Amino acid sequence: MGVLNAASVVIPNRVLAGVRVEGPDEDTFTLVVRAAKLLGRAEVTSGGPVGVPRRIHILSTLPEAWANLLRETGAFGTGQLVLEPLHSAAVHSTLESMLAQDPGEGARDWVIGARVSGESGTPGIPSPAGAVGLSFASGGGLGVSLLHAIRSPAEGRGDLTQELRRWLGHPPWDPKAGPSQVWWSGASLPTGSILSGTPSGNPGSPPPPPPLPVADVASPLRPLAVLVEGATELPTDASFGLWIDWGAHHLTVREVRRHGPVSVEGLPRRGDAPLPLEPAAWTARDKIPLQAVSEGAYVSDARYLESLPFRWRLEADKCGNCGRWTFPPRGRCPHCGETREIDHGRLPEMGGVLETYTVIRKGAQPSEFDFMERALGSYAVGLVRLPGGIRLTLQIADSDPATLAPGQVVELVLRRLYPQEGAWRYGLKAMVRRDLPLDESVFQPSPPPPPSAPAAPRRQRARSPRTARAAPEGAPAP
Amino acid sequence: MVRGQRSVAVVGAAQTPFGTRPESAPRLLRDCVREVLSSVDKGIAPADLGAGYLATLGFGGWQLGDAAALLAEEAGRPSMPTVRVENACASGGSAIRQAYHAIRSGEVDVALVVGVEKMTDLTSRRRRFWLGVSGDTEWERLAGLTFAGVYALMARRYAMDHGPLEPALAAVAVKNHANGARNPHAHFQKVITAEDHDSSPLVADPLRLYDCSPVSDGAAGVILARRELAARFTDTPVYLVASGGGSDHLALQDRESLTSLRATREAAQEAFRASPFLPKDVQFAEVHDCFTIAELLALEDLGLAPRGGAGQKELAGDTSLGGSLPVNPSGGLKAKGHPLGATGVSQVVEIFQQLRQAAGPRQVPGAERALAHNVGGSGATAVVHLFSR
Repeated sequence: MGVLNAASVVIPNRVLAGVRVEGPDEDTFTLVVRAAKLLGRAEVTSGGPVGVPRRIHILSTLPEAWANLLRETGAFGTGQLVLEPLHSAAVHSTLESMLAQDPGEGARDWVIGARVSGESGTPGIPSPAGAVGLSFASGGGLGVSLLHAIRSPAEGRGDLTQELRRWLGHPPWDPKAGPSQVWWSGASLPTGSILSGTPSGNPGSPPPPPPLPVADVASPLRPLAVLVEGATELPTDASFGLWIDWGAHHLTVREVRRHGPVSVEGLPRRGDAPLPLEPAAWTARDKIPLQAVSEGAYVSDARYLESLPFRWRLEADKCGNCGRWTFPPRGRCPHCGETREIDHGRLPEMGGVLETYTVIRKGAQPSEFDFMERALGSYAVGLVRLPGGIRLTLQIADSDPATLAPGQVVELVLRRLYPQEGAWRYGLKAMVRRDLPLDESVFQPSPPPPPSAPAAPRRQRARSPRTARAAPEGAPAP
Repeated sequence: MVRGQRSVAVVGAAQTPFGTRPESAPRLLRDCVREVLSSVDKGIAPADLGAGYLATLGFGGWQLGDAAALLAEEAGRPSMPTVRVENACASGGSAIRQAYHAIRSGEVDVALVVGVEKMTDLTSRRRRFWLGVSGDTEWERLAGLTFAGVYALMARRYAMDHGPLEPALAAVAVKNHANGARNPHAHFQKVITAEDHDSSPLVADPLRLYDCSPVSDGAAGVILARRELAARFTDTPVYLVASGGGSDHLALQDRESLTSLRATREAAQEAFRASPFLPKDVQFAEVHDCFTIAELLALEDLGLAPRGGAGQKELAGDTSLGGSLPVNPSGGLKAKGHPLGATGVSQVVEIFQQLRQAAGPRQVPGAERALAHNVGGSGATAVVHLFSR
């Protein structure tokens, strides 16, 4: 902290977004990817798009070996990935090393800190809620913000939450201290304001507590954060988007994510009651024995890994002859048979349209998805039409099935799909963009298929005596 | 080739009762083979059999590999060449098609086709695994979809194109249950009402429990013979006059239409082109109603109803026994039951009995020409067979 305190850091351009763990299909890996994609899409109003960072620090529980998997997601461009362990010392040394750099023109580093409370690394155990913090540094400054929302009061000393509280000048939180609280702060920003998606903007949410006094915060890490601690009820239908106008230096924060009603309903359940928030309180029955899952549909590691370019990055073929897209890529155009003139590209993750969907009801799911059923009761799967006419079969993430409708616009996010043989398999799911209007084009009737059977036989009719007898009166003449 | 001239005769057909059966898969196979052999009017000797086709998914893995040898054994002709045919729910129809081709090629005179499936002796988890093995694994299954889910995607799209669907789905369920109540071999021999359908729990929106065929045990078998040899076995054969097959992408996402099965259309087209009669000449049909929506799609894809008009036909009672085109007089997959490998063969057992005017209380009066339609998975494969007296 000393070095940080001494540094007089100006934060001319900073992007901050927060992502919260919503369901049992999210974990550190998906959060980091989500964070990177949000950053990649974010815009610095004074400086255009964020662009590709030179280096990306990822402070998390992910082992270093996962760098390759992270890269496969296509979310990190060509930036150097530095995976570092998640504890205070590592956080500080990372920040210090960043501060020590000459923040020259074009110097762009990202820091993504991710932590899922209670994540044990054991597949099959649904993760409780957690959050990711991320930040973006650009040009002549540095910005670091750690946004760490947790629902589990099992956090101990020295974790990121407490660090953040210290940086914010807030006394350490005692889990026994009392009721849940939802609070945020932006008071020390020169002209900062949090304009959208705060709990106060949502009727029915708990009234926002007053901004914390942060004037005495010595840290240059400005308290630009949303912090949700131990809440049993999170802001209803909140977007965690922050839109901050900071004088001449615009900070545009596009989180982007909207939640449906969020409450403990979305958490793992034990029978009819919510599962306790503390994983330590879970019994063996709350965990899903993995070996029982492995009898499920089998996709070998080799196939899984070779499919990642199209599963995660939506790589597809475009026919050089007829111009149509094929997904997944097959090296052969199914429409015109072209095999040589095949171009490659990536389908867009944004702008898909939900064409049709279903809700797999409790008890009807394939055995691989018992963990979803346990956590959510039921889940939705739909066909999403992407620009270019490609359809994808995707689970629909974070959605109350009752709110789904054909025509909804979705974006694709990486989530846990299912566990197999001790490891999670990840894939894309669709997340409904409730901020966008319905795409009515899906309501155009399907084009009629060609006729099923010939209205009249094409060949000359010749009848055997038996069939001639069987032919009814009025049968078409030969 | 002269259309219909080289047709193949069905000279024997029988099935075990469908339902939750106490017998094991090998036992169902044994019982079925005996019944099929004894169903031949003038008798048949094991030595008469030239080839055997076993249709089974091997549900539960009871004998996943090389199971066809068991058929030869049970038929009393252990050296008979046999093969297992697997096209998911279309295994039975596909096995009949293989036998049909073998006989028409002149290589085989008489073929035994048996379909068998034992589905109810698994734990819930294992059953849910096996129920999904025939859908597209990488995209559909591993997005969490079930077969009901895939058909539900089609149903919702169908409703978007053609309007409210639930009354028509209920009509299919009510009608097929009514037929099943007249079939002593049916899994469900119970009449239901539209209210029963509408109040049953959702399985995969918009499909309800009563839109789904059951998980059943059972076996069904037929004996096919070269037409010229039929008289050796029976005086009242039923003729398999044309066969058609078709395929489509395994995954729904890759198909051109969500409301029409190309595999069915291709199969119907091939069958009718080779047949002496047209769709309008079909007097009744056994179609693949694994879900109620599937019966609507089938009627349209087979050319038995106009596009978008199958529901109206169902609601008007045209497809009921006594209607202008009875569909699934056996009760269909919905009520008779759906033991995967046995299903397509069982359709032919029904047609054999109907065309011989031996279907008892569910007899389609004066039936002379019939169609069997068997679909694999969610429409990745399909077989259509045409029969005449």
